[in-house]
Formats: sequence, structure tokens, C-alpha cells
Amino acid sequence: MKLPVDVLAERYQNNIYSAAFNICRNPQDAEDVVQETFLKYYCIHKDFEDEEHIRAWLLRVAINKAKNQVLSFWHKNKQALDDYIETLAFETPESEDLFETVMMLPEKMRIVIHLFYYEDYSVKEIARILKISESNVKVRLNRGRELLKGKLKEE
Amino acid sequence: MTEKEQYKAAFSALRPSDGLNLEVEHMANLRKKNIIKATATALAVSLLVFGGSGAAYAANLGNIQRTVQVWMNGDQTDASLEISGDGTYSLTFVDVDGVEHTRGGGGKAFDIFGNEVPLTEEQIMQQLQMPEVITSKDGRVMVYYFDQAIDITDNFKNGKCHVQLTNAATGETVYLTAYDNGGYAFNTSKYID
Repeated sequence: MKLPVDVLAERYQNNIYSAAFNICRNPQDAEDVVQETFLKYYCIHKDFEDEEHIRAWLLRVAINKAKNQVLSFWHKNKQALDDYIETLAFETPESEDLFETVMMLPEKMRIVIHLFYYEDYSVKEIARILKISESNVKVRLNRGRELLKGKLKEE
Repeated sequence: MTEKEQYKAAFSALRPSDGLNLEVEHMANLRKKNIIKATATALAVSLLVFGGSGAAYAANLGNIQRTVQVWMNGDQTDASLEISGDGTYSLTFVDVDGVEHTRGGGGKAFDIFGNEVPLTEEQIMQQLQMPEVITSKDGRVMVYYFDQAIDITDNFKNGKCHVQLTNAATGETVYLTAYDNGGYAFNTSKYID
């Protein structure tokens, strides 16, 4: 199966943007990644099993593109993270605090944390998307949680 | 709140800019045009240059601007073609009613190594001579190819319509598939579905 780009853009562009931003930490780069990801989807001749398969594929492509973006020359010449955070409308000061703390984590931890907490993927699914071992995902997840200690308080 | 709910609340503030959705669609259409162009490279260059049997000819030899003869919506007309260094172009022409129109296009193509490269003048001219499917303001779906203007509005079945087009001057045949979502594709040897 293959769903139209406009349908997927409506459903998943925020998710892809968030995942891309999580890696790039830059809105322009993240938007470029979103566009490139949908373009790649549009152009690829692939028969997806179901919508969940498409979603995981989109995220994997976006993550890879975002990693490439970070390595590019242009990434170093764009809007500072702090300036962008000031433009975001957080519901509570705690949310802003948590967001800023996550952004301070190493990239490898950030994306694992994001896929687990935001996309609700299991360790096994994260391992498949990032093409790393499940034990590696667990290590990054646990270390990330430790660093976020005090920011994520279950009530 | 659970940890996941706290995390989602924090990241719910992240949103791409409002214009992004449209840009995605626009770029997808542009890429689609490039793909169509790639599939149609077999369309002979002889269609493009010099009058007589062809449909367009270069009149001025400047690097940036050309006067060309093109078919627009089934009518042959002179047009001013401006090509930028990034492979984009703008084409200005006056229709049969004396109204001036400007349209643009072009952009990037991919070389055999997967690198983006600006479209060449020849590729842009090829693009200008390809079949077009245009939905008019009154909802009629028209196919234009050289001097042919075909109304296919009522010919869609299962969301698509096949049209076989032949250039009378060269005998070249193009197989066009139009989709009811506005997209279309064509090939010189078979219908693309």
C-alpha cells in the first residue's frame, strides 16, 4: 500500500519535524528534513505493509537525513537553539525546562528518548528503526533517563 | 501525569511553520515533473529545435534569454524564455485573446550519481514540449500536446484516464495516464500506472 503525500503530511509532519528537530536542534534544518523525507516517500517505489510501516519508514528516513544535515556546513550557520526556544509556546515552565534539558542530552540519547516517550515505540521497535541492537537502545534509554532525573516526575 | 505525558506536553510546542505543508506538495509536484521528464527522455530532441516539423526554435543566442516558438494550450505562439543559473525558467507569451501569461518551472534534476544539477536549456525545452494536463476553472480536464487539445473530463475510470497522443509531424507516440487527483505521467512506450 502507499498513502498520498498530503494525507501523510497532515498526519505525521509534526512527528517527523519533532524527530528531525531532536537531532538537528534547528528549525530550518528540521523543516528541510521534513520536506526531503516526504519527497523521498513520494519518489520511492515501495509497497508498504500498512500505515504503521509507512510511519516507521518516514521516521527512519527523517532521522538519517537529520544526521546528515547536522554534518553539513550549512548547519553551523543557522538560528541558535536558545533563540528558537524563546519563540515556542510551552504550556508550563516545567515543560520548557524539560524541553531544554532534553536538548542538552547527547544526540544518540535524545533520539532514543524521543522515539520512546513521544512516538511510543518499544525498545525492539526503536532498535529496528535506528538499526542498532536492543541492548544498545536500553543503555541509551537508561542513561538518558538518569540525566533527565528530576525533570520527568511521574505523579 | 505519566513521564510520557510530560514529555509529549513539552514537545507539543514544536511545530513546523505554517507554509511547510504547501511547500511539501509543491516540491512533490516539481519532483514528479522531473521524474516524468526522466521517463520521457526518449522524446526526440528533433521535436524541440527549429521550426517546420518541430515545435520550438531558438531565435536569440544569448545565454539567458531566448525567443522560442511553443505550443500553448493547443495554440502555437512566440514566447520569451528566460533561464536562470539554477535551472529554473520563466516563459512569457501572449495568448490568442491578446492576454499576456507568464509561467515558470524547471529546477533540479539528478545526474547518474544522484547529485542534484540544474536543468539544462535542452532539458527545459523538452519540458516545455511535453504533454500537459490542465484542469480549467470550470472543472474541465484538458490534455494539451502540440496542436492537440483533448477534453478528457468524462473519460476517467477508477480514478485514471489513458490517452494515446501522436505528434503528426514526427509520428512520435506518447502514452499518457491522467489521474483524478490532478497528477499525470507519460511514457513513449507504455502507459504508466
